[in-house]
Amino acid sequence: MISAIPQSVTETYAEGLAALRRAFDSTADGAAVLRDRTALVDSLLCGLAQHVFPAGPSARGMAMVALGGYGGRTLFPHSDVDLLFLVEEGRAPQRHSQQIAALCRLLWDMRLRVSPATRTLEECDQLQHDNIEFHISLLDRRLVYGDAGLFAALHQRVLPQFVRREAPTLLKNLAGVTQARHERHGRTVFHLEPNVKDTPGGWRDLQLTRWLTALAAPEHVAPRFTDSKSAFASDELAQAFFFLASVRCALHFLAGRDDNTLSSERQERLADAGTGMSGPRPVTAARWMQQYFRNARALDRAARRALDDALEPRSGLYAAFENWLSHLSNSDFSVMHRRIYLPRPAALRDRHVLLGLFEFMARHDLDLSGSAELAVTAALRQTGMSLAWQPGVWGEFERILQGPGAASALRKMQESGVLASLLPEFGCLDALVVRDFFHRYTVDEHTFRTIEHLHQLRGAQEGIERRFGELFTSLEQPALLCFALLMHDVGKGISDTDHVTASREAARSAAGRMGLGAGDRELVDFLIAHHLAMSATLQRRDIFDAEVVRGFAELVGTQERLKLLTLLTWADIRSVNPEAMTPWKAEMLWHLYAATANHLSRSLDDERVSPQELDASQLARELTGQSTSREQLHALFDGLPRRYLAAHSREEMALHARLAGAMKSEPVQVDVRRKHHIFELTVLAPDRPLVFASICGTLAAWGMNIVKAEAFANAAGTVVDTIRFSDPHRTLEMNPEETERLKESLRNVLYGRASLEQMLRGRTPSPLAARVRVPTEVRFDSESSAHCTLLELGACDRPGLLYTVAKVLAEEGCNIEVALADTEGQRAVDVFYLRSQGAKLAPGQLERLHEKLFARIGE
Amino acid sequence: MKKLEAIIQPSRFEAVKEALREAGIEGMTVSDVRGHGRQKGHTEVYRGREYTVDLLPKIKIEMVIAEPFVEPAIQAILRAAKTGKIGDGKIFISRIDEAIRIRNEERGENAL
Repeated sequence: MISAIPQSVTETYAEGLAALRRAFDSTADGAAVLRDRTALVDSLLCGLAQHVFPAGPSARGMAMVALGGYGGRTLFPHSDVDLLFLVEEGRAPQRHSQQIAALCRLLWDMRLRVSPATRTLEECDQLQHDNIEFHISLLDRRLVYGDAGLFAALHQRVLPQFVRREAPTLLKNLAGVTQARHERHGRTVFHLEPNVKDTPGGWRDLQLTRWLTALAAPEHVAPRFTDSKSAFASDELAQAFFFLASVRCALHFLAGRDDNTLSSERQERLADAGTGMSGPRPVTAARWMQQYFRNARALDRAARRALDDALEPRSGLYAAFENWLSHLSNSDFSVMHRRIYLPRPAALRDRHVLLGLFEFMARHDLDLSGSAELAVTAALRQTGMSLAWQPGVWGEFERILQGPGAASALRKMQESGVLASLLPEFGCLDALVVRDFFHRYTVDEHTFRTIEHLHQLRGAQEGIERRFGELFTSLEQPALLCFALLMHDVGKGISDTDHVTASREAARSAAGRMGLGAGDRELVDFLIAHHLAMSATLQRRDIFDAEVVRGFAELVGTQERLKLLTLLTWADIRSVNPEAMTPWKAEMLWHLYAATANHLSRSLDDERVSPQELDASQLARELTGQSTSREQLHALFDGLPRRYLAAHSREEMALHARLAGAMKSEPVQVDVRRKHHIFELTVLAPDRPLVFASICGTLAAWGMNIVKAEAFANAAGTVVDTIRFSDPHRTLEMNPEETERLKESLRNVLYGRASLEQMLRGRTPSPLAARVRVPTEVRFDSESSAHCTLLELGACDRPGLLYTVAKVLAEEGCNIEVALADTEGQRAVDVFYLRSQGAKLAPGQLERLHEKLFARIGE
Repeated sequence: MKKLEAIIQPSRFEAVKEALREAGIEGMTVSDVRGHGRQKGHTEVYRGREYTVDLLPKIKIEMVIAEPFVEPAIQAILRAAKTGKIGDGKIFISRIDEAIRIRNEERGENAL
């Protein structure tokens, strides 16, 4: 036995390592390094073993077996060398252990980190619960030196039978270890400085796919990664392997040790060298990291899919049958273990079924099975379908965006190519990297996360997130906000200097093509144009300064826009990185929102449309001539709060102008239209007592529930009331002809031809059982408005509430100059601008009103 | 060596940072904090519900600087952070016994 390393062996090894380095510097071929280093270490071990084990290479009773990465011929420049010394029971164990120890000492002296294990065949067949890693490393085994017969017994008999028997335990442990590792790294591939071995989408996940294959088929030895491309399930995975192999080799050579951190500095160096990439060099670090994330994403996806498939319980026939008939399943989609399967994959050639799949996924927050994903990709490829130019596609896309699982659906749409087909503008964001110390995610992932965090607000139970959640659930069209978020950073893939303008152009193009209405397109454009405004105001302005709030209120114009912009800002900041939205920032954002909302509610009557302003406006030019005269325009718009102009689209104002024109022959004009899941009622009538109460009462008598209302009066004494209501009993939905009867009923009440009291008798609205207790709050404010007393009321929302309040106000002789009604979840929030006999309300009136409101509404 | 702690309005931070840079002071630690002075905050009403804003958001800047730079730093902060309104903030000065640069173990003013 030797105690010193023969010089020839060390020299050969050192020369071999240097040659590896030179070859890599020249070719950057990581796969070649893995193969060649494995061969070099094989040669070294054989050379040393010949001296240590005098019985020679075919000595009986001992086999030196390569395990893990070494066994799989994927040995990185500074990785550990995992070795198993397989011995026969009773074969002079004392002598073998001395020889093994001597060999390991020689290797350590050469600064080779060896991880040795000594086992008999019987020991290899026994599960060690506290050393599962050892059993996993045995999945990649290879004889290096010694007793071939002993190794054959291990390789062909003992281990296959062990794996067949212990596969469920090994699998469970492997899943647990993988989950823990992913959890340590935030369950995301997106790190500013990833660890290319352990981070999701790293080397360990690649190994995981191989281990899972080995556990599923222990008799079959799969080709090794460095042996053949058939070792990979797809070209995408093969590409990821070659890229990652090169990157990790480069990191080892740079650090001179087993260091797998892709620091910012190393990203620059590897990008300069173009490591892992073909094409012209150098590339920017951002571009290089884009490639890294594409490969990491593919690996992460493959690993998760392989683990899900492996873990799927092999349930009994009845349980499987029951699961297939899950209540969510339908003729097109079956649901099992929260994944969607396709009974008829060919149906995906129909675009409605294809998009319906993602709508189903978003609505129920499910995942796609592997077979469904493959079917989607195949359907797109086979049909050559281009969704971008198909008519009426917005309705289907809208339903995807508003589902709680929208973000997951969008990610799958991107992975499968459906999103690129539907929204080509988004393609430039694929794995796009923004290199700074704040943005942790690629731009596309950041975008998906904004939508994900938005939908998660629904479930927020406490703290400041609950407040933002209430805003989200009160939105009329959450899908528009999601669409704005989807497009808000598209410009970063188009322009380096002005991404906002580029995003707006892309959104306009996409929205027009998809068939969004003019008002909706305008709203999306507004949100994208100003998506940084609120954040900038928070950072650079004093948000406790009334002037700053006033200026911001002027920018947003309406409560709805304010809510949308606030939620967009919240989602955008929240998705920069996990720590970006601090409680401090969230409170600042909330304060700016609340201050602006208050300003919008309390300043309505200060700023009114003047005739001169109207004549000079674009609005007048657009509306005049559309069967609307200038006189009619003045008759309607003069004296309306300026807020009216911001709150209504051009089409709505054109409608109101037409109705105003028709008032000459019919003083009470009524229009009812369906808008998505609610109805919008517009009433133009001469202002007189009880108009607002009558409208609200009529709707209550019909069983309708008012969710939002705006009531304005202009200088000519015409009220313009816009009321949005839901139809909980589906009266209008099931009986379309009832819409005309409702309109007629309203006209009759307003003309005094029908008795509202009679209509309401026998249909006394009873308070709905509230899921949460909502106390009634009444507050008067005689300071905020120069002309009116403000009443701010909060109460549990129920049908007939607004009628009750309006009736009390009318009974007390209050004239409603402006009314704003809104709902936040279960809570009705109403603001009234009141005057009595041409002045603000007296203190005595306030007391009586306070008492009556509490008496009629309840505590 | 002295330590300066300045509590300022968030909206004045960029101006203060620029003023300090012009005065030749680059190193600083910045934190988001909340607090109030004698004015104690106030009550706001949003949609009929009261909520108290008793701890207002501020920015805290901390610097350790050599003696000759102390007064220029104070003047820079005063110039940039002052609005004349309640809530402008405060500056605190304290003595520092020692400073050490971790990278190369330099001590004293050389470590700043």
